[in-house]
Amino acid sequence: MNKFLFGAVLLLCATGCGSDDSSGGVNGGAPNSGAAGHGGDGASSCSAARAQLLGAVDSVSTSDVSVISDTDGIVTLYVGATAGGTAAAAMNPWIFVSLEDSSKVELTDLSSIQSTAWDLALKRSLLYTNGGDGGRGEGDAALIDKEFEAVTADDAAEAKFYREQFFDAECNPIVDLTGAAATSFSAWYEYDSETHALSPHPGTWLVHGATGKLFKLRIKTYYGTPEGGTGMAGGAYVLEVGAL
Amino acid sequence: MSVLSVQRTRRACSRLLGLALLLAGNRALADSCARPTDPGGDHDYSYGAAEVKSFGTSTVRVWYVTDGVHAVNDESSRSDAVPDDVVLVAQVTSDALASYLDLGYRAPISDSSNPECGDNGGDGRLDVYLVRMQGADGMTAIDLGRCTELGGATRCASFIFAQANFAGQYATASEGIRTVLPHELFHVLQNAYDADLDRFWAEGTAQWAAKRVDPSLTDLERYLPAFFAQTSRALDAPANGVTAAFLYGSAIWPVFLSQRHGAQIVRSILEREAEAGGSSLASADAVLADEQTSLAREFALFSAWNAATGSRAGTGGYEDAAKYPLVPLTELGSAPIHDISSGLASFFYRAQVSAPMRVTLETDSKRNTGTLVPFENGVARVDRAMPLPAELTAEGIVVVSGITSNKTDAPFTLSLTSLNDDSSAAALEQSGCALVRKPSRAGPDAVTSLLLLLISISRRRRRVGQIRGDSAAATLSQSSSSLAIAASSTLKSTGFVRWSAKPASLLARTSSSVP
Repeated sequence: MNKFLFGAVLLLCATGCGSDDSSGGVNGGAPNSGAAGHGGDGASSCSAARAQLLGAVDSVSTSDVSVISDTDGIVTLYVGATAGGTAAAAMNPWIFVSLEDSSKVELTDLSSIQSTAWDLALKRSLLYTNGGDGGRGEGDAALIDKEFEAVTADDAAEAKFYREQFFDAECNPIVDLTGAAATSFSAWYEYDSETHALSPHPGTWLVHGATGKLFKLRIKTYYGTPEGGTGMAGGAYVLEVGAL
Repeated sequence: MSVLSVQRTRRACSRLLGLALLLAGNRALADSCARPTDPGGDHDYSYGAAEVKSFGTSTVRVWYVTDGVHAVNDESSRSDAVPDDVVLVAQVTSDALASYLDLGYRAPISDSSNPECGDNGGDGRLDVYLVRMQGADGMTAIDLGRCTELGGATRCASFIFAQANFAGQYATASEGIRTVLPHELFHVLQNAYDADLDRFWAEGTAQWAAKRVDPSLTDLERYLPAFFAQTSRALDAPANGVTAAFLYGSAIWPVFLSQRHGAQIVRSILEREAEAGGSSLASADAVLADEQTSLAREFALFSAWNAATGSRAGTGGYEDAAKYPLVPLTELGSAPIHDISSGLASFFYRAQVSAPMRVTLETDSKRNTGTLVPFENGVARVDRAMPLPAELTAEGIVVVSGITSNKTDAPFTLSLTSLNDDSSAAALEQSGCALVRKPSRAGPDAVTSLLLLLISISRRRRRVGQIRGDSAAATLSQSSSSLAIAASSTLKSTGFVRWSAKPASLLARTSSSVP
């Protein structure tokens, strides 16, 4: 079985793209300097390029977000981000999730741009936060090498957060080697070239929500079910989320 | 050297597949001249312990096994028992190579150089390895140790992976072989120009080239719907697995270029990129400049052609327009339409009026242009296409096209107004067409009265003014005539409108109304 760390790919991509800093981490996006993005302020100069890169389906996802369990402040969520499967994904919208409320937010790709009600957007293997080019919020993300249970708010101090930066100054897309938008979550999985399966990269994600609230997040599986079991369809996430 | 294009993949059916191949390609950085025949294999393909055989022509060598996971269909009608599929792969690839060379394309970079790098298949012939492909049905890989930087481009030796057994993927194995091998072979030739072509150009021209080798195949048409359904995507927008079909559908761009300017233009663009580097679009613009036109003009016309396909196909446009899919249309009514383009993208609007109306476009003329393709008897008259503002007398499709690769937002407003509407006249004035503005029906205001008084003082001066005005109006009329004449005269030979310089100036003036 051959496994490859996608982060290494992004490292190569970042080098190829001439990025000056993001090569130091496994995330896509840009180190968070608090700067506004191109696509999230509603008066963007890259709104059309954003629509081309992420899609701009003007409907709400018909998939669900449901709570599998809620124990000691740790919520296990099922997020249906299958987007109708690979072939139909281009025609189906993203699903927007409130980590604060552990629920789906009824937004379209278009209306999400102006909203700070959501924290995480998901579609197939792509995730992004509500910040920078992702949205109007204060969202960003960092992957730290620490077990989920042991992560506390103090870990944020040393973490390197990445805010979504989907475009350069001229609205040219910044993409990973698959051609998809390079997001703060681009390093979340490892890929098995024999089975074509994705498995979560070890570690814990620190995520600032749209309001700036900090969460810890672990992706348990890409092939989950609403009941917490294992399924066959990709994009069926089971997430563990805890507010910090 | 860029690592972003270490191979060209065909049929990247999913993002996961694309990732697999790309990751495999990255691994090849370390094993830069490995082949599937090597003990460790290459790109995750290894023949393992199976007995490896080869069959070749003078230019192509096909590697295969008859046992194990990569086994070919071993049916053979030959005395030497070489499988028929293997023989066909060798013949099709050799014949396609000969065809491409006859068209003047560069020969593949030989893999006989830098033997220290590793395996080269034993000689300088082009190697084709038949394997059980993972999700794709063909792939062209680069010998990274056999690349050279020259003139801003990277030229590399390459080899091909192709499906060992096409059964079930195409109607016949023969169809699969004739579809896939010429496509992959063209990637090999591309790598003799620049191994890092823009993906839409690499895949689009490979589809186009394969169609030229065997016009009976329909693979080019098979992917066109993915392009025609997403014309608001920029031509060179990145495509991941979800939108990979768009890359293959973009073959319609070289189809257009070759029907407009001759098939040699594709080779000229490749040559330009090999010499000067840069993007495929920049190379196209430079080559088109030699043809006394530009990427901006040609993309606008390309968009107009795309409005006239399928059941809308009429006079002008693609030779096989009726076989091509339809672009989706948005209705243009009395309410203006506001939208935003990014890069070389196109937007299509259907308009139908009972009395003549004027179609106007407000936008930055350096970013967007508009074209009216009138309809007659229910089909498009590309030969009568005209730049906006234009008068619509019955039915037509209005096309708004981005004309640069600039990806920043380029907003535009498209309006349909009465010819007698003051606002329409104002739009005309803003657009630089005030010379045809009709007098206001309202009585003269103070300023106008003063002007009339001044005019009445000097009859001679007024006459001079009229002459100047008439002269300018005549110039405008001449411009319009030039367009019509250019259209009709060009139509006789090629069936399309060739934009002249004067209509282009009209286009430029259209956008002077942008705030």
